[in-house]
Amino acid sequence: MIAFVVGRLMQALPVVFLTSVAIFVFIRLIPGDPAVSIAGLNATPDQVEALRHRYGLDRPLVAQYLTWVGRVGQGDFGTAYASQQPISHLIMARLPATLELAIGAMVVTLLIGGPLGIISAIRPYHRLSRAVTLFNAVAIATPTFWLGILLVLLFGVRLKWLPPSGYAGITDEPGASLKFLVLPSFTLGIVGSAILIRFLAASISEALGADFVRTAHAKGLPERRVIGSHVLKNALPPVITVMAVQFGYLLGGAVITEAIFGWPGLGRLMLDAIKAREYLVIQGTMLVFVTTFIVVNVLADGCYAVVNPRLRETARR
Amino acid sequence: MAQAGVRSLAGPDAPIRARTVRGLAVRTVLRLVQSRGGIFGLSVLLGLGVVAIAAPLLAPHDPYEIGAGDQFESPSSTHPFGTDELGRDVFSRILFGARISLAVALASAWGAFLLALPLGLLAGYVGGVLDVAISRLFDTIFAFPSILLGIALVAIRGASLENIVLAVAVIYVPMLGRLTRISVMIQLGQEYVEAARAAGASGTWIVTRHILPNVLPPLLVQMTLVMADAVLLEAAFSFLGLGIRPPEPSWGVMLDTGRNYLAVAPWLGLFAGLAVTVMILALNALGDALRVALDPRRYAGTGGGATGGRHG
Repeated sequence: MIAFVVGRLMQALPVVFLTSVAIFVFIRLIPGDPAVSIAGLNATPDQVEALRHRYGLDRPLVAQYLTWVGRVGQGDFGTAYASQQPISHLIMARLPATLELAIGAMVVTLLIGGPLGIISAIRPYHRLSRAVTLFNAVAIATPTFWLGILLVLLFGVRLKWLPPSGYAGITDEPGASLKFLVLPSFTLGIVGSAILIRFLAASISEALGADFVRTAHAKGLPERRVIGSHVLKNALPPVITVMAVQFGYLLGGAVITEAIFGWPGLGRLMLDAIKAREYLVIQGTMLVFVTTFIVVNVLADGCYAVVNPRLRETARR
Repeated sequence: MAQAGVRSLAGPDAPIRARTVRGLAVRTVLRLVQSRGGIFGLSVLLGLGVVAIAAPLLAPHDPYEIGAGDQFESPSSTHPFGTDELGRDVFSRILFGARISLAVALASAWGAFLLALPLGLLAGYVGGVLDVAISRLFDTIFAFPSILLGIALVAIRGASLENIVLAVAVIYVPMLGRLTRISVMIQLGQEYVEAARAAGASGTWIVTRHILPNVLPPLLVQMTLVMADAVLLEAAFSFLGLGIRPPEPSWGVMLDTGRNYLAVAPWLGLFAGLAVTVMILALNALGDALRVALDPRRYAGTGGGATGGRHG
């Protein structure tokens, strides 16, 4: 298992390298000279030149890239131009909020999607399953930002049950923090659960058609045991992968939900950095997102290999 | 594009070939209207297409006209979807918004297709170093969460309709490209390709005549999904202030404005979001129906075969 994960991580390394190059090149393509924007409108050309030199912006691109990667390897993402704060601190400060939201959304996804997915696969013609199909189609088509707005409108503005937006640290004020967490978690979790239902139902109905299910029935196992220990065991692995990818997205892709709910996560950090042309902050956050995404995928493959030994064999070959 | 490619290289029996492709299209449409999802998707999209084209005729007001009504009028018979913060007619703006969304959807899907098809064909057919290089390129693009990649691209190239289309196209190149590559590889392993090769067919002939027709149907299905996501991403970029700028009647812009006036004028965001949802719902339904209609296993069952000339 460990050998498998390490092997997959090694395979992922070139992709991490390529993405780091891609990110670096991308950021250089953003129009506008950062030295000019740091120096401000009243700066003399000499001042701009001095800043350019100070941040190494006058050096060749390859040298700039190597310096950046070398420092990042030691956990140093550089300092933000405007605030002069170390970027690693900025990222660490935003990490709890992002993690909290990702976990909250995942909990909602599993709570809604798990039972509904199983039901709609086992009893496809039940009335509830038909409702689930409709829920799914609508949930997948609903933009998260619209769903977010609707939830704010209903529970925040009309019913006033929950705060429409804001954030409190989970360690400082756990109660308030959880209240703030509910709406954004449902916004992301409802869409996530639609994805989960789709994959879970497909995976379970495929497993239901397998020979071993017929054998289990034939030897007189009760339905509950057949589903619980045979069908689910075989149906879950691919679903785990899909959910891991989903979690990876939540760790980086929740920019819109964060914007709606004033959630101070990593997505907001990057969005603000793009608007302020903070090269190093954009570079740093993107690298964190992409690396997380890749690592989560590798770990998912690892889980997959634990439950499905056949995969370990193919991977070794 | 598919028909043109096949036709021009088909040689002496071109008319027959063209007829079979047309036959395939006719049969696909016939199958589509047999499913409820297909009817729903097709009719809604046709309706939206008509709305987009005929927006100037259908809209009761000029979508840019400030003060067509009072500020924040709630929905009424003169303003079916109410008015916005500048007194513009929301209904007219939604109708014109369909133009932007459909244009972005169509252009992005075509863009992704045109970028992905050659790359996927090269990777799958030529293989070797080229395959490794192209596959790593796909992996690299795929490693970015799509919305972030889009935001970065739009930020780099500036907020405009063209750049949104380009961003969405680039995001979906890996998905379509990988699908092309794997479909090509599957077809290359088939006996009929070996037979064609044994009969002395050239590489170009095999690719255009045998492989492409089998690669296109799954790509077509995926393109409906790309279109759905393009609608979503355009709205998302505009919502974040990185896409289309006010006063253009983009649904995303309208959602963003609606968010600020949620307590006074909830209809602003409500109708724009509903429009986005309906369009995506229709595209997804069409995609699902198309997948079933184009499933080669089903052709095999009906005896038509994947090249399906007999029913043409």
